[in-house]
Amino acid sequence: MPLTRITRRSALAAAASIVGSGAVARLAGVRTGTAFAAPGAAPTAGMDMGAMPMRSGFAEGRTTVDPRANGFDPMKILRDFDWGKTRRLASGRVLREWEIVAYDKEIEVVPGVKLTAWTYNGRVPGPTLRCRQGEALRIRFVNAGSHPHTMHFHSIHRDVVDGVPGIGRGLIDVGDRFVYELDAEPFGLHLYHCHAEPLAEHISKGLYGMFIVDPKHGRADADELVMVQNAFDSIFEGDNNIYAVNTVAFHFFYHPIRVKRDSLVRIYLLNIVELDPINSFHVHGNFFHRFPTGTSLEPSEYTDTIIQGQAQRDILELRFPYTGTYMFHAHKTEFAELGWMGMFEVV
Amino acid sequence: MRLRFFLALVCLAAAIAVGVARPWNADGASASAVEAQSSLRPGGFVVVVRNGSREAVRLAQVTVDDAFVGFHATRLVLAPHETAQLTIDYAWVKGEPYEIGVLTSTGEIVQSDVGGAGEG
Repeated sequence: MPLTRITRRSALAAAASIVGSGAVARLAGVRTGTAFAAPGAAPTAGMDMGAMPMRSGFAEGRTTVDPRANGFDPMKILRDFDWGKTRRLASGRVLREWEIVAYDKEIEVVPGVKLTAWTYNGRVPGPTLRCRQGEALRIRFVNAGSHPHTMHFHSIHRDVVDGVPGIGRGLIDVGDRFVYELDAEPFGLHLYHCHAEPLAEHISKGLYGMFIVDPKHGRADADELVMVQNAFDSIFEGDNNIYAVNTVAFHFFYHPIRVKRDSLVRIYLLNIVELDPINSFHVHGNFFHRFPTGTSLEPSEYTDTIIQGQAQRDILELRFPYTGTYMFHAHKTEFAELGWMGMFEVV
Repeated sequence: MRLRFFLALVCLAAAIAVGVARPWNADGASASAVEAQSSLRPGGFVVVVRNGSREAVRLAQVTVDDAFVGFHATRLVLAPHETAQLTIDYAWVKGEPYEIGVLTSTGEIVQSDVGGAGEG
């Protein structure tokens, strides 16, 4: 029998109106018109789709999110490495510096659905910080967000720069700033994220990024791709309902990643999905060498599917022997059909 | 002492109410009065969505059993008391239940069930 159920968030809203709490005005307030846009067009407030027959959703209609509206492009994030600014210290050692600003921002994660994210430098994931093993690193962090935040690096460092509440500077208050100083150790594929509590909320709202430490002698030349597996819980039920690589669901399904046949492709793959215990990566028509955490130059496995827990990351290397279109996706099919699905176009 | 404890309890309850009820979206209006009714049709589903709230609601996406699907809609923006009919192509199986979710532009979901024993 047909049945309507309202999600927890809506139920809370209804409950709030009974209680008469301070949240009522927000929840019952006038909704300002957000936009629906045609493919490739910038959203226009108040656009009336009225009684026009529309086709939308995963398979048809507007399949993309305008990168200009979000301020970042999942495709550009793939090959965008932030090397910061460097200078040589008196000791001869390289000092590499970045400035990272945390602030709130509304982002569109699947066509038509906008959420307020907490970001590092206005993007989700945050910038991919890249350096070389042995360098001195300085990250100037400014909290321009609405809540206290931190930056916690997965690296070898002293406790005072661990970015954990109650240790060293701990939480960085709204409007405050702090400089994290650490060494680029060990080489490999790592991450950074906010460590303020509640942890799940600060991470799942977008405060994370990749942190790559190249080995001293580098790696072989390759077409390098950053893939951050993430997800969003738009209804606060403790369960994600939108999945992606680099934030926008299905982006690489509709915009295949172009790579060259027989060329070395290196994927930096990180799983930062909260609320689900595992994630996975599978590529069609090919196998790859797996370098867990990127801390060894010898692969551990030759496969076409891997499983990652939270914060787990791997460097994957592969060459496509045939031209054509090859899918990649989470092999947890629920995640795939909720957005974590893409294509390689081999030319 | 007892009054102080009571006041603390009231403050805590209010804080929890405000905290948990805060939406992701700054303009997150309630969709609690938005209703959906779904039914089977040959080769798919029909979902009728009615906006019983006092504000416009914008429909964004549709899921069937935790998978985004394409759909036709008679309208995507529903003024108060307006309805929209969504048509979904889907190879449903007789006797099996399905959960259909309609996502609004603010990320809220209106869910309805269809199929199952006795239907189709």
